Amino acid sequence: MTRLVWLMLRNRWTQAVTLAVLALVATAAAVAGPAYLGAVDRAVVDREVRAATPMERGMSVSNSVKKEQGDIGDSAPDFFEIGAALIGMPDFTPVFSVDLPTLGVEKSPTSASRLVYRQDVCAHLVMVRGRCLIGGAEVVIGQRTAGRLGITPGVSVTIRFAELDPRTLVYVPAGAPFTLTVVGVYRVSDPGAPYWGSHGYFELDASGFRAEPVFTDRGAIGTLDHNAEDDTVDVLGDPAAFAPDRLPALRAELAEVNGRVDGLGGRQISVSTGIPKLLDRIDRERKVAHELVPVAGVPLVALACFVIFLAVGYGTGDRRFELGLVALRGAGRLTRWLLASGEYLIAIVIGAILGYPVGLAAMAALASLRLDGAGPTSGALPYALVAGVGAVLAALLAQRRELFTPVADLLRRVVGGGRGWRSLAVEVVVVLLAVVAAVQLRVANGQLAGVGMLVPALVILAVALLGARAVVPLASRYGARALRRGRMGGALAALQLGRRPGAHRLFVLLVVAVALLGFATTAFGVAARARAAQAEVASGAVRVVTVRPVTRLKLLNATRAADPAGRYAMAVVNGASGAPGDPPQLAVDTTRLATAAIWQPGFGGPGPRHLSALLRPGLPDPTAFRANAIELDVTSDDQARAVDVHLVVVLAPMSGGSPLTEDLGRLFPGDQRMITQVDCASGCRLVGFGAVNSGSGGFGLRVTVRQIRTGEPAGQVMPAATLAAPSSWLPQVPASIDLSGDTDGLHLYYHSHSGTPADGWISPADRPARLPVAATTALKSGSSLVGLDGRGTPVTEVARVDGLPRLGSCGVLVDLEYADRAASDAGTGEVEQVWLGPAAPPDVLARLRAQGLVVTGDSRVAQLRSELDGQGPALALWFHLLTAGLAVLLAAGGSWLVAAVDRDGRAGDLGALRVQGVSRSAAGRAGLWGYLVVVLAAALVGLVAAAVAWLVAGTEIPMFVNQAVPWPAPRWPTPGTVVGSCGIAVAILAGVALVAAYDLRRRVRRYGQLGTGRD
Amino acid sequence: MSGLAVACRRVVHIYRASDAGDGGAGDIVALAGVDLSISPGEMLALVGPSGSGKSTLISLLAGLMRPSAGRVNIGTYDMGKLSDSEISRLRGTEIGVVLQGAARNLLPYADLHRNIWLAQRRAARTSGIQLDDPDRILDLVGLGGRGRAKIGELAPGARQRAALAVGIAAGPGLLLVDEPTSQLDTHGRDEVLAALETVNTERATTIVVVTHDAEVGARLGRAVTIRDGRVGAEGRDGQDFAVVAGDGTVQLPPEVLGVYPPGTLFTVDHEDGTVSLVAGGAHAALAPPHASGVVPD
Repeated sequence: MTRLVWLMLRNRWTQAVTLAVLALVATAAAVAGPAYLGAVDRAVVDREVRAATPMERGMSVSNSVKKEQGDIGDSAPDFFEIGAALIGMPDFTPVFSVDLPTLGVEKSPTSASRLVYRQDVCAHLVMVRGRCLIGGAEVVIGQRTAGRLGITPGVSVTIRFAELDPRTLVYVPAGAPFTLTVVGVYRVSDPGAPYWGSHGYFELDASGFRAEPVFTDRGAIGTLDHNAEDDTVDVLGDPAAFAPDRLPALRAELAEVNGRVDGLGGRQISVSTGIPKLLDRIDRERKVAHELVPVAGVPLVALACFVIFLAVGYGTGDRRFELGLVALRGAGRLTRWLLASGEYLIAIVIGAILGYPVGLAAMAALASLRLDGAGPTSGALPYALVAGVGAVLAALLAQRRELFTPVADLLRRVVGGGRGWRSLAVEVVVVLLAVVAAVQLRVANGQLAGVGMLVPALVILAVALLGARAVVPLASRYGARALRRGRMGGALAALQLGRRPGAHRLFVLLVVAVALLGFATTAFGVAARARAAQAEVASGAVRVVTVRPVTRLKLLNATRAADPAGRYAMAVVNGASGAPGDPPQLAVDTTRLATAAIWQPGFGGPGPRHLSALLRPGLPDPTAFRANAIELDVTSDDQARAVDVHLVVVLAPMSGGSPLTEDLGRLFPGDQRMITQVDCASGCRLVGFGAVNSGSGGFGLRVTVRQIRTGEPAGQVMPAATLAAPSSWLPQVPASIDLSGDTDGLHLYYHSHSGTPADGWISPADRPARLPVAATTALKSGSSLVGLDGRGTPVTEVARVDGLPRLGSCGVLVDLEYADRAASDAGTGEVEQVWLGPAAPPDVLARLRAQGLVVTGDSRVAQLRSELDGQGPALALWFHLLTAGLAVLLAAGGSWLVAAVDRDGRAGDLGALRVQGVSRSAAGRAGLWGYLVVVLAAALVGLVAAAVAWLVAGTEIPMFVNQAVPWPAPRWPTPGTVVGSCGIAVAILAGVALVAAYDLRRRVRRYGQLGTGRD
Repeated sequence: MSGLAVACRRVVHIYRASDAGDGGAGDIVALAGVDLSISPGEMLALVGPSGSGKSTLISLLAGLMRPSAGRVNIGTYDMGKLSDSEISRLRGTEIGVVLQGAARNLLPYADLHRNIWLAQRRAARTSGIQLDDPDRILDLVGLGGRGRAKIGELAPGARQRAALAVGIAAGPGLLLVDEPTSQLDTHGRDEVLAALETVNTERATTIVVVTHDAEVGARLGRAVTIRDGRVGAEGRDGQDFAVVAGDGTVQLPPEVLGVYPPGTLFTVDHEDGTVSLVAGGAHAALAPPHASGVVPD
């Protein structure tokens, strides 16, 4: 028996090899899914861990120790031991540190230095001069500090523990002097290294220089007289700590540590860590990838099994007579089954076994190309077994008909080609399943879970089956008509599709392959476009430089000074978070909007240049002066006696320095001259002045401002006529102040009800009464938004847009200069940036620094795009593309096998027709178009199936883990993407068809010659 | 194994349109009441025009199909009462079948030994059956020493004898052979007929051969003509006979039918062992006035 099976295998070795390859692909596809997921997991973890802050990669257990608690000094070792025991997590390295403020290193008696003990610090410092710490009373000092203070190794410094005076917010000595020897001067090579944790040892100061702690030995700190210290144990996770399969355990360990700390009770021990946030991010990415990969992997395995089913079905059909012969000799069912299935099973088993390592190797190759070398994980063996069993079952299922057919029927050449009720029932079930799955996908609110995961594949299969139901009869009808009209070639080709048993299955296979590729390409193309758009919108500009916050005016002036022509740089302040329901705000120097920001076509509205004009209506120059003092002549009515109301003036230095808020003193009845010294020699803008009730509640008061003058040099801040004109002023709360003016000056009638500072605030009308805004939606709060000063600001919507840079489809844009004038504080923004356009020169950072801006961050849209490209969804979509490509190759292999099985029969048919007078060209056309027409029709229906699947499930394909800004993904890819990829697929399938047709023609010719010879 | 007797009694077989699988127009009566008896060890040829029902009859004898009506007995077996598996066992042990077209009986990729081995497989598992060695079987059909030959290496005549070898591999009591000489030249035909005679002589196997070739029928000694689904005539030892069917009908030879078309009325006279058919009655005018047919007793 074995010998006979071997002979069969050898006799049909091409079929066996093809079948083995199909089984290989099935198993490899089954292995590829989990293997690729494993690789994606590792890539995601690697990338997220690399990008994580030190706090997110580790944990800090801190203990603030006070002397009065009696646990200073000797207690520190206890804490360290406790900390180490608390943490005790594998693959985490503990770093102990003690941190306390001291005086004595700096020349200023109030300038404190951080005295720090940090375990193993010498391994992370580069000694510029001298040596690192060995022990005893030694310190090392930072390079800049040493240069600034003229300290060299060998010098002794006497320090004292310091405390912050809560009244003066100044450090004062609080311990006995202690002399230490400076043994070295260091610089730190990587201030952002995880080792340093999140202690901010090297933070930038206002001047843009890094702080430099004084490092010492643990013993020295123990000797120093001090009554408070911060003890910390930082644990830093090694890469192995974040291995994908360890993450659940890591969560449990974190919970356990928190539980232990809680169990300590009374002690001032706190645990801080960002690991949960990191794990959450990783989990989100992995979740999306785990949703997406099976969407492609499962159909591919199913398709491979279907191709095996098809191939074995065709092959067995071709062997009907042989099987009948075996049955004719009285063979039992087992013998019949072994002889029928043996050669297929051997081929499938060999292919399936090879598929496992091939799948892993292919994924390793793909991972090295796309996942920064993160190799696939093992553990996919069960999936390989499932696929192998699936392939075997598909083969057995394909043979069921021949195994149970009576001998007489097997011996007949003509096979009943009817598609019975079973096929119809299966097709109905598939279509219903597709509908149910699609509905479930919608009902489950876009969750790719359960059957919903297979929606695209099911929809594609349903459309393919329906297409086959429509196309096959059409081909049959066309064939019959062509036959009647004498178009023999076309007729025979159409009838090949219309009447050949199993042709509809081949058609379905090709449709599914083309559709899977179309769907995958669409998903990939749309996701790529969405990521590009998301990166551009979220970034706002090609390059975004974050600067240390300065006053908004300073940011504006510095940016304009760095780019006087306005060709590339734009000052940006992320607006204060508004009231609940208000959209986020962005304040930008709109004069540079067109050159610095990336303006998406989908933003709509008037466009950046016109928008700038709308947001910056013409205005007078700001009320500014240069002097060292400001004087106000005012007259208050008698009500001033009853209330404790002060007049406060706010000035904004034109240099961009900190705003000046000067209390001019209490208002009393009668005339007053209120003077205050100000540092406005370089120029200040009058932001406004206000009556502030020092008491509580509202107040009523009439004040006349007769003059606003400068002192040293003396002059007018504003002409009397301008001062007296109510139109020159804008009250912040119009309902609380009535303005009028005459030759006496400006009359202010305060009738504040709430007594808040805003009630008594007026500012020069160097801005519109209502701040112009461009919004994506109607403002819920009507005509007011929270301004840059955190107070309500009257606004007017001058433009409606569909989207805005950085804010996406939900936000409000204001002009930074106008918003700054509208604010009452002339302060700093929460996050200040300079957006740079493509024309920015290479030395742009130097230009910004030259203007006094301290750069703390620098990002580019390409980086953001790269980050998005590296996230789980993007990586998973690569797998879609790969599997779709494999699906096309499977279809090509399947159709080649079908053609190979078919060719003898077809050659015989066409050869016989040739002998009977059918012309050579007609037979050639029949051979050629018999295959091509299937491919072309399938390509057409395949594109339709892909489009339908995309319409049904496309919007549910996750493209981001977290969308940084709300901005809709494009609905469709660029036509070229789909046409190109599907064109390649059709070319491959048509190539197979052409080769098969050529081979068939050769055989027909040979048959014809034989026939002629016999005749 | 000695030869098996065959008995067909009023065997009818109808191909249903649905069975035909070709969407044919209506049912087809292939056999319309065949009565046939074959003695054990007898050699018999079934002759007749295409479509007369010869192959259908041999399929019924092989158990490949069941008769629509009537009985088919092979030896002691009533084929109509056997299950599929019993018939399958019978084909593997006691009934050898050689299909039309030698190549269709043989696995092309296997040598003769392997083909014979496959044909003997069922019998080998059945107790009490003594199987001949494949080489002995090949000797019997004149292919001694060719056991390792592939089918493609054999001449057409040898190929047909190889098919015969497979048919007799299990030592059947009944050998059914369909058109063994149809594509052979005279020499090949003689080789095949010689092989059949050898098998019949040495094993006493009952052999039924379907053929178009009257000469083959003559060589086999007994030739039964199947015509329109019935036994139309029988030739024995060079003499042709009409056959009285189980329902009393007698088929007229074609040449008589050409003169007296269907519908012609006869009177039947029987005297002294002579049966006379005298044309007459309402349709007598359509027939020659003095025609008569004589059937020997």
